Amino acid sequence: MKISLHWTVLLGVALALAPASAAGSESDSANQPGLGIGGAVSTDDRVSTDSNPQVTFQEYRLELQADAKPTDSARFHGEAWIRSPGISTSVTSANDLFSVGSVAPVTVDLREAYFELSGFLFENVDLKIGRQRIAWGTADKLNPTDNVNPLDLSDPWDFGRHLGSDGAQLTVWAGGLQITGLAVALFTPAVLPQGEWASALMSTAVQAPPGMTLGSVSTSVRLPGLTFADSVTAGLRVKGNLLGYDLSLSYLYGRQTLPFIDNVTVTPAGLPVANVNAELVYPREHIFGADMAGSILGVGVWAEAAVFLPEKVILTTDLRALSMGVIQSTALDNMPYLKYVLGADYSFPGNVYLNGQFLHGLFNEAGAENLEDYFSVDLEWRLFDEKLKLTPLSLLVEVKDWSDVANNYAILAAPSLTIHPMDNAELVIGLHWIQATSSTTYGVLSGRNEVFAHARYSF
Amino acid sequence: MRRFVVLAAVIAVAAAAAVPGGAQSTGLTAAQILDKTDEAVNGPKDQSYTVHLMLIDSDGKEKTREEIMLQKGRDKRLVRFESPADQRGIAFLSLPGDVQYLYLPAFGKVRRIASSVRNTSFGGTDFTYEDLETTRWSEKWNAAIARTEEGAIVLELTPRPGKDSSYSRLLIWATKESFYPVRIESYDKNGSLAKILVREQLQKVSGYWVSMVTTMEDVRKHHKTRMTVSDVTFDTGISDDKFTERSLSH
Repeated sequence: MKISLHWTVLLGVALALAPASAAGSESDSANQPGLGIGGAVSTDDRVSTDSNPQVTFQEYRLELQADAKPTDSARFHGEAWIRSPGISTSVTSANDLFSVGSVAPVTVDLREAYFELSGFLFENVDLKIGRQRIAWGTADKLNPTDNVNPLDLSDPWDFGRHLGSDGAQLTVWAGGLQITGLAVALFTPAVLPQGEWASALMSTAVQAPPGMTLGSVSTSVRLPGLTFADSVTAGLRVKGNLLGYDLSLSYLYGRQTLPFIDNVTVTPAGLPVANVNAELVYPREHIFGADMAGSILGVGVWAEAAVFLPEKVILTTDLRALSMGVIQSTALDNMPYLKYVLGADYSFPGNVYLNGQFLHGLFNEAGAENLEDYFSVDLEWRLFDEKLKLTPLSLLVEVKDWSDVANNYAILAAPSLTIHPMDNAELVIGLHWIQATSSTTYGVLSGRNEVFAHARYSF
Repeated sequence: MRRFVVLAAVIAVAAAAAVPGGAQSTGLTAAQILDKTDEAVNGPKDQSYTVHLMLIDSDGKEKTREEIMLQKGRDKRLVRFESPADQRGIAFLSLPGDVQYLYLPAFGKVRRIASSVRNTSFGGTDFTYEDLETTRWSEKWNAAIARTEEGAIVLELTPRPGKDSSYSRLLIWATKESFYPVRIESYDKNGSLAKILVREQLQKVSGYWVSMVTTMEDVRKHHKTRMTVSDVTFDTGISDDKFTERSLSH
């Protein structure tokens, strides 16, 4: 309620301040489509390929979008997802069986809800306020500079998905430059992946002290306070064009949206079992970014890099209950580290599209010593008047140690076939295949292969 | 269909009667005719229209699309899809110097696209990105008069040295009365006929010729895209701001 009041006031102020341009000229208003409602229904089903197949992921989703454009200079947009996760973890007792919310849980997720004013105060200024996706960077899906919105890892195969953030974005268009300033008042943590994906992608795995086995594990999360100083994310981005190439420089002051453990308390639960309580924190960071995009001899090229200057996180392990004292180590050093992506794509005659990227540092990695090297390759072939799309290659390859690749690699593959039986309809069938050595990020997921089917209808 | 052709012929004849002068009496060179053809197509300072697209496959099955198209001068064009639902909001911006951007609402950002995309289909139509470019023919192609037919001069265009195209040559039928190109045949690198574009129902709007119905046929795929325009306006003073990344994502 507090937030909605906050936005209502801002909306009123912004509309009042919007100049004549927001009201629109006569010729503008003739082009306004008014209110538009649309969306999609989609289903995702995944089943493991082992000898005893089981459902590994299921999501049925209704996406609703609303757009209103009362004038050429004002636009309102909202998008909500109503999701049924299929696999319910809410039924733990007989009492839960009496609740629809437990038996067949549904979540409502407001992905975006913003209004946008072009020509705000000045002709060349745009204002966008509300929950919004602010996508920075020129790389394909895996963008080291794309850090305004928290990650949404609820579907670990949907790389690059982010939540919306509640904030304001002001863009000035001047002299061929696009200068964007933004502020997000409240910190929102990332949505973490489920199951073994969490073990693979998160650095917060809790271990028992040497010689002991793990009993119960409890965690507590220390979210930043609600003060502006604690919670705000603020950034600036300048984008322009030089010698035919699009270039941008950015700065962001925010927080890691994936948590780090900074405090572990171990208590005995009848030797040799130890219970562990871990506290999770989200360290501050400064991020300086740069990206470019252009074309060389018909080949699309891009590069994107970000230097992270994180706040230091000291991991304090309290073993005093075991008479072993307190141990301190560095969970995240405050030394700068660099993530980057180099990529290229090409469209061949016959509707064949190839996209390749080299990445140093994936979205879940932090700290110079923890960054790995990756390649991503996507090959698409559209056939039969685009009724079919064959994706024989959709790969992410990790190389952990170049001197011993055979024992330090991971391959994630997602070949698929997409069918468009009619306008607005899409059916995708494919395979998720993981082969990884135990030393790599995806080692714990090696062999967790699954077939998947995805259907979507837009309206 | 027959009625449609007859109607188109009637409109064309009626239109021709209103146009003074003609190529047959001017003794123009092929290059001069091509200049005039460029002028006939790109004459307006700016133009906008709603485009209704019908995609017709080899079995006669039809799909429809609707898009808004804005053009300024000869080298700025913005196309925005209004339907179908899964393509709504997708927008394409073509700027001078082979600079092209695509806005995909699902990703929430504007993406620079490489020039290699020029020879691929735009939105499932028979038009490639290159077909949608706004470059003057005379800047990319050398022209020769192939032959003269009743009512039209047929120009043969071959790429100028250093100019890249996915076509090896074009044949353009320019009307003798207005030099407006009513038929274009595009030949691939092997010299085979690849596409035929036919412009029908020519009308003069605000002093400029416009084809109300244009059909692009991919000869090899036996697939057609029929484009019907409405809400046609010329020289309304469309701002340069409409042809920017800013406009693309709004």
